[in-house]
Order: sequence, then structure tokens, then C-alpha cells
Amino acid sequence: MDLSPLFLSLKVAFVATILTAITGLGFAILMARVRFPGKSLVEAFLTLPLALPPSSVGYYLLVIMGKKGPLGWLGWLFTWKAAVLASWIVALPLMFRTAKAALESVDISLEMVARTLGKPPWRAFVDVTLPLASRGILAGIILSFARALGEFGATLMVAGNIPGKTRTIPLAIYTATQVNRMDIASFWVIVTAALAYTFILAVNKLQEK
Amino acid sequence: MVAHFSKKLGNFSLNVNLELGKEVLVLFGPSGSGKTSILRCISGLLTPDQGLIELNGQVLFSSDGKKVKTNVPVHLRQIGFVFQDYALFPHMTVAQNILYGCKDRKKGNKLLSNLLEKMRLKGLEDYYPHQLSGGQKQRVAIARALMAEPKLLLLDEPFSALDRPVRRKLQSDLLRLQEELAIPMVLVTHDLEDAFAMGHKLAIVNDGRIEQVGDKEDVFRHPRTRAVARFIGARNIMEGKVIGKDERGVRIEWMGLVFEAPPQKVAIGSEVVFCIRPEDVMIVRPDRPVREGIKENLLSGVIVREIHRGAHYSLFFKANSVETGKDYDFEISIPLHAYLRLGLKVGKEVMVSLKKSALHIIPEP
Repeated sequence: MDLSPLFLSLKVAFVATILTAITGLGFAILMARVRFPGKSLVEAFLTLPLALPPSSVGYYLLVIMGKKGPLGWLGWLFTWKAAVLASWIVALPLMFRTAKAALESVDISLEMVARTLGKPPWRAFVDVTLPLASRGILAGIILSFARALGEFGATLMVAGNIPGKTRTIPLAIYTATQVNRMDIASFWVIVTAALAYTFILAVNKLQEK
Repeated sequence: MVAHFSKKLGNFSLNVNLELGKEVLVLFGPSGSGKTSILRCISGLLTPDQGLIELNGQVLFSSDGKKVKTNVPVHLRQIGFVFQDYALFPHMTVAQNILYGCKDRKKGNKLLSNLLEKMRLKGLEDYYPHQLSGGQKQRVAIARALMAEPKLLLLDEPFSALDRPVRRKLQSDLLRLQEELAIPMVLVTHDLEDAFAMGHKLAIVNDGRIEQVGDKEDVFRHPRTRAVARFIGARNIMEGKVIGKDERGVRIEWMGLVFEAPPQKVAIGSEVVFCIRPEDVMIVRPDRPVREGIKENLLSGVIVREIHRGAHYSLFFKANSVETGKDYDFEISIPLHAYLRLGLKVGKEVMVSLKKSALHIIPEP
């Protein structure tokens, strides 16, 4: 049996999660701490992929990464890198929203005290708010990983369904059912269910106090 | 420290004029009067609209209202700030909390054991904040502020969440520390007893303004406005008319009676507001000659109500010869032992004296 979808899925999800974690946390800090005009519009825009059908995210990515698109020169279309981009965009709102809520749950007066104790604002943030929000941030990372692992629609459109190259687990399930290989489909269904269940348990554990 | 500044906060504006040496200044006033915002402006957590803030000759903030010339960031001001809810770092132990603001690790460990000792925190080094009592948390918060060797210490309602015995002990701890460190301290409270116990200087804050500032005793004895008189518990505030004055004092007519007050700058014929604290309304002993100092301003009447307040009694006195339309005319505060010795009770006829030296005419009613 070809196990490449498992390894491919893990690789794509892993790289996408790193991207999501960094950018999502960055946006969360920006939105939680900085006031600027048009903030609510930016915030809604960052949440958009959560509400859009993945196929429309896929469409936008296809346009951007297509031969004539602004990122066409990268030549990532129909490679695993395109799958990473798709997973990244789709998981970003989850990471951003979870991390923002975690940061906002930390009492701001703790940072104020740290500043009166001689620490510059960034240091107060790193020493006090970040560790106190770490469980929430970690929960966001796990959710993002789970989301990236399950990504189907946008991936199909920009990365295709090339066996051994871009066929991740969700695509493998889809393909197996198309050719009536229910044995393969059910195998991958059980694998994804086990993975997803583990992640949800971990997130719940983190979010308990 | 010098702090002259103003700041608009919503529909409310702060107007502050304070100067302070190496002593304790208490900001006293009702909740919502702007006391905490004043501390935040001094520490730099809030930026005033205009004014000047100086500490030991260093300008921390200066602005003419159009352009900010100086605004030293919070972390460079060396001003300790103890928050009302302590704001201990929940993910750090007592020792880690206290050491957080330490600049020199070597010196810090020595200072740490010194502070643990002084703040009675020995043995609690490895506890987390959620394992501490309110009083312990407060002492950690103070120790943490002192570790950073502040040049000024600000305390926001440091006693409000503590019960009485803990509060008393902490007050004496703080006063001792202040003497040792010889740094100025500004303390916010809305509790009159705390204000009296802690302050050298007292500033009465009302509606974002400093109504009066001065030596504690002076503010207590000589309130400048009616609001101040009310806040400091003068209790007996009356309106009368000046009918005469000479070098011995001022004579005020009130409800057909004449009271004598110490010499003050008032015009004969002017309407005045005057006050006397309940502990300065003396009950005259019928079996003894009236002693010097309370032989003026005598009134006879009856005790209409009493409240036992622990070590003293509050008595409500109605004068016989006047009709004010109120159910009592004066509130009297008398120590428990005197209350018992004089056999006082509700309904008893007594003679009282409004102690002349304590009768104060409020200059800006």
C-alpha cells in the first residue's frame, strides 16, 4: 500500500503550520496592541478564509500563482509548495483569532507593572504577556495543524492530485472513492480521524485551566 | 517631586498641582475623583495634555499643550508603582516576582533576602501568587517595586482589600520602610483612617482637582472648602454671620446664639460657613468647674441618638434653645471610657462646648 499521502500530508501541514504560527501570531499582536485606522476591515479580511469556500481561496491562489500572476515566476503551481500556501491561508484565521483571544485575556496591568519595573514595552510583552498566553497560542498552532492536515478544496485546485507528489490524505480518500476502492478510503479515513481526535484532545487539555 | 499638569479624560479633567519632598503624600478623595489617573500620569502610564513633572530635579515630562518637549518613557522613570489589585505575575514565584525588576543580579540576591525579611515573606520564596493571602500578595508587590530601587513609590489603594489587623501591620511596615529608604511616597486612599495613619502631607482630590494640599494636621483642622470639610469628616458644618471680631477672636451668630472662633480674616457682617469636628464638641462635666478652653460656646441640650463605634461613641445632640428643623444639631465623638464615666445615654440632658480653638471658618465655601 502506498503510504506517501501520509508523509506528504505531514510535510505540507508541518511547513504550513510554521508559516501560520509566525504570521498568525504577528497579526494577533498587531490587532491586539496597535490602533490604526481601518483596523476592523483588516481584521475581517484576515478572517475571510474561514468563511469562504476553500474552492474560492483556491481560485484566488490559482490566479496569483498562475503563469501570468504576480507569483507565477515561482513556478509553484501543482507542486507541494502550492499545497503549503493553500493550507497556510486556510489555517491563518484560526491561528490569528485564537492567539488574539489568548493575548487579550492577559491582564494589561501586568505589562504596565513590568514597565514601571524598568522593562521596555517589548520586553514586558515577552516576559509577561507571551508566557501567560502561551497555552492559547499553542492551542491555535495545533488547530492550525489540524486544519492544514484536512485541507482539500484549495489544495486540489492549486496543487492538483498527483500521486506521490501532491496527493495528500484528503485527496487520497477522494480518489479512492472515485475508483470504488473503499478499503483504501476507509484506511485513510481512520488515520485522519485518529489524528484529528488526538489534536482535539490536546487542544481541550490546553484550554482547560 | 513636582507635578503640575492637566489632562482631559472623557468628560472629566485632571488638574494637578503637587510638590513633595522625601515624605508621604496621601491623595484622599471619593472613588472616581481621579486619584488613580494622577498616579498614572506621574508614572508615565498616562500622558498629560500639558504641564511639568519633575523628580529630583530631572524633568520627566514637559509640554506647553501644543508640543511635548520631554516625555521620559515609563521604564526609564524609576518610579515604583504598586497597583490596587497587586498585579503579581501569576507565572512567577514570589522570589521571581521580586527579582523581576532587579538590575544587578549579584546585588539583587542580597537585597532579596533583605526584602523578604523586612516584608515578612521568609519561607514563601517558592510560592506562587495564587497560594498567598491578600496581605502577603500586597507585601510581595511592595517588595517587587522596591527591588528596582525607585526614586519615588506610588501606591494605589494599598490597604483596600485587607482586613483591619493586616492593614495596621502593613501601614507600620510601610512607614518604617519609607523612613529607611528616604524616598517620597504617594499613596491613594478613599479611607479617612488610612489617610490619617499614613500621610505626612494630605491632598484632597475632588472631581479631578486638588481641592487642598498641606500638612495633614492643617488640612484636617482647617479645611479650605466645604467639600474638603465634608470629606475629612468635619460632620458639623453650619452657616452663620460674623457679628464682631477683635484680637481674641471672631464672634459668629448662629440661630440666635453667639459662638467664638479663633482670630481669622473675615469681614464683620459677612455670611460664613464654619465647622467643628465631632471630637472637638466637648461634653462639660456638671460636677466640675468648666476648664479653660471650653468655657466659650456652651450649649445645653439632649442626646437624641447614639452609635457605638468600638473605642468611641458617636452621639447626636439637639440643642434646647434653637430650632433648626433637623433631628439633631451636632455630632459628638467621645471615647468609650468618657462615655461610661459620664453615664451618658439617649435622652440625657447635657451641656456641651464647641471648643473655641477648633471652631473653623471655611474660607472658600
